[in-house]
Amino acid sequence: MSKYITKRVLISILTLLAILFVLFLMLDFMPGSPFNDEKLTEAQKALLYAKYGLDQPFFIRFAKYVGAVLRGDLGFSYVLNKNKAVTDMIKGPLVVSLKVGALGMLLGTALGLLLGIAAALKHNTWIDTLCSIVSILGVSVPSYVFALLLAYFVGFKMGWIPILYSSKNVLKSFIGPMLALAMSPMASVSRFTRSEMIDVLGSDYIQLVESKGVRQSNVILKHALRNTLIPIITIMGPILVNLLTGSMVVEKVFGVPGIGTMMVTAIQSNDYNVTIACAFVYSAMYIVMMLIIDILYGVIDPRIRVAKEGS
Amino acid sequence: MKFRRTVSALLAGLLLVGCGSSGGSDSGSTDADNSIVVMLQSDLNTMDHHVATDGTSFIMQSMCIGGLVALDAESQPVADLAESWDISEDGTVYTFHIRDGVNWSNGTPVTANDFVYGWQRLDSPDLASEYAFIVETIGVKNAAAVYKGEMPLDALGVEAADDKTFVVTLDQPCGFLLGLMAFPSFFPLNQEFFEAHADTYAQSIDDLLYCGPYTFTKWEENTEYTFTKNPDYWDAANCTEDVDEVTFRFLSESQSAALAYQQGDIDVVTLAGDLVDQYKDDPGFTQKLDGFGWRLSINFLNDSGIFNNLNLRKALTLSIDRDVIADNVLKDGSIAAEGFIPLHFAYGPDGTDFRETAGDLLPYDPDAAKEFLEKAKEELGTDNIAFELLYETDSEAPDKVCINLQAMWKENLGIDVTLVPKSKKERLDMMNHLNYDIGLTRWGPDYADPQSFLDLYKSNISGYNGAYFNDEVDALLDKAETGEDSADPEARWADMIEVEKMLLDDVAMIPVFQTGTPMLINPDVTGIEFHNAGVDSYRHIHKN
Repeated sequence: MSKYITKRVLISILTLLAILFVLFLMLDFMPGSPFNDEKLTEAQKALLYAKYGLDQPFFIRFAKYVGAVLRGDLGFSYVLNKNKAVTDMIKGPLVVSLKVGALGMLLGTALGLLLGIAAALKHNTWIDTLCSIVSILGVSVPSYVFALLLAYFVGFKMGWIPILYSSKNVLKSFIGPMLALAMSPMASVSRFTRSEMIDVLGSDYIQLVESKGVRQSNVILKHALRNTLIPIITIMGPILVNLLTGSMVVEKVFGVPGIGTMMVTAIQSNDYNVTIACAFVYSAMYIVMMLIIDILYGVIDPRIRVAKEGS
Repeated sequence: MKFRRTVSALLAGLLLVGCGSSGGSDSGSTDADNSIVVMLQSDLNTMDHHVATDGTSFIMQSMCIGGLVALDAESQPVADLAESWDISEDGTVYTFHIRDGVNWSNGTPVTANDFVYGWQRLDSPDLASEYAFIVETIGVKNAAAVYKGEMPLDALGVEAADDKTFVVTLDQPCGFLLGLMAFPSFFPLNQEFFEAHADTYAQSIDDLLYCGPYTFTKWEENTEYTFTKNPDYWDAANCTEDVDEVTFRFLSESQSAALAYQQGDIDVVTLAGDLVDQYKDDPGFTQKLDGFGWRLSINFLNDSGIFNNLNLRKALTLSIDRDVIADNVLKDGSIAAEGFIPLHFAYGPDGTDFRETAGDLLPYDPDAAKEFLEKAKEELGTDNIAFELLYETDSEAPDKVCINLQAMWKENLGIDVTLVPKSKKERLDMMNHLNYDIGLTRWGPDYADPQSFLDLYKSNISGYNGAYFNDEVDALLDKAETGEDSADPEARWADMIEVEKMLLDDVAMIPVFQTGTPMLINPDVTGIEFHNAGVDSYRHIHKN
């Protein structure tokens, strides 16, 4: 197992380095510069470029940057928060985004599992139809629309949740964004759970377990759900990507000071270091998630681990 | 067992969420009456007033730091940290007398040296401030040489005659210097404090000193910024007597901000254009006119060379119905441009609005436009006139405007225009490199004088004037700014009016509209002072 994990971790680190290079290259190709104010003279621009080392060739800048990143230094912001260390800038927003994202994912997955199981157990009844409708809505309506609907109806009309994030009441402020973000994972998970569960429930070994007189709840939780989970875990990666991109707009609607908002502003203002740091964090989250999923496979289904170790 | 535990944990999580959402009915409106919440459309970039370049940062800085002067509601300079000033007869030496008893928040007095140190830092090549140009703009002696590193910092034309006397020496008179003293770039900096905090200066509320109407008391990055009244401010009785706290809240989505306004959680909201119809009947709906205009910049070095033809340029400007663009297309309080200098922006020696004196120089006359086009075609020897129109898509207005310009030119002149929508930074980059035909651009002035606009069209190769060259304009601007008329306000003003007319007669650029901003302001809130040049002031904001 440890050999397997070490190998996965090493691959992840190499992937991250490659991503950093591509990000750096892409930013270099982006038009404009952080200093494109109409009022700047050429002499001023030259001075600013020199000050921030932007006048040096690409590979020297990249080598210096990687060196700094390895020491935990992500450089300074040029625009968003002038001359502030990027590491200090992104810490707060990152934690906020992670909290909201994790809550949305947790809630969405839990609801999705429940809906999926209910639909599978009551296959071809009105419950099944209702669950299908809910999941189709969840897949087809973007989280941004859910966010605005929640803000308007639940926040403004009913006054149950705050419309805007407030640091005075963080937990309550998270409800809106969390619900909006939960929709898409809920829909995907429930669709997969339903179809997998129907397959599994019809299989021979479930019939054997049932014929042994095991309680219905045990049959589902212990035997059927476990086998249903494997394909569901495979879709967690894509779900996470969906959640990350969705979080940028959802954060905007509820005024959540997350990393999504920061990244959009950084890209618009050519704040290179902040853009790279945010994109890098997003990539790192995705890769870590994939790593966890890979490891989870092994935990849930020992056959996978054995097969991979054997190869 | 493990899986049963997981499922129970998920269920427990759900229950928690359920409890949370049912207990949330008391949101908002717990604020005391004397605290005010203002929405910010863009976030605070820096509290270091020597490196700041954006409106939000300047507004925050002028809440808690004072200048030699402040602007009153009519944008006229009034005494702030300086109680009085003398101007030498030739207009090149300004002597400011700093008020007694004005202190920084750590108790040390504000001295003339704080201004000397601050101005020197602003102009220093080591700092490389993007706003260093402004020291040169007002003509402080040796500003350019100091910035280029050719002279030491102490060669800059500023000195502390004594603790309370700050003297500025200029190369030539500057009629708008006083108003600019309210601009944060010119605010003081305490040398001792700065040197003690050099690495972290202005990065937290403890790394700043205050001497303005408010002190900065809560800095929540990316979210909100709270200012509490400063009882030690010399004019506290007039500024902040009934106000305890002003909170600025960064929100980029104006729909949810408007909902929070309706709930009473926010007092001042800036609306996006598409929300105007929805909120125009709200009692707090206001449209403020901004001090900048959008204009079409013409690239005179364009490959086809067609824009060097005056008749074509005349046809293009005469065929634009600017009222339709402002009233039917934008509908956000923007107005049709009547000249290069905006309305309610600069006032002459007799107090008359520049626009009023200069008049409407941009008529709509499609018939005359057609005649000019025919002449142009003859002179250019072609029937086939086509070009590209560059604009940015970061905000809605340019997109809407350019689509309509394309239609107007097609309908009135039969010219085919290709639209080139780009992101703002791409648009700026392309214009900078003169890689465009005609581009929609704007200019945010830093001081309320026509010079801040007209100087753009001094002959030089710049993307923003499209490499426009005109010796007569240069000569008249020089006469007004540094020459024989510079010390005579009336003559200088007449020159400025003449320069604008020369530029528009020659169609050096095509002004289109002056921007308006739709807002929702709680009818109980008063005292916000919008300045068409310089920094909007919330120093006198008040809630009944």
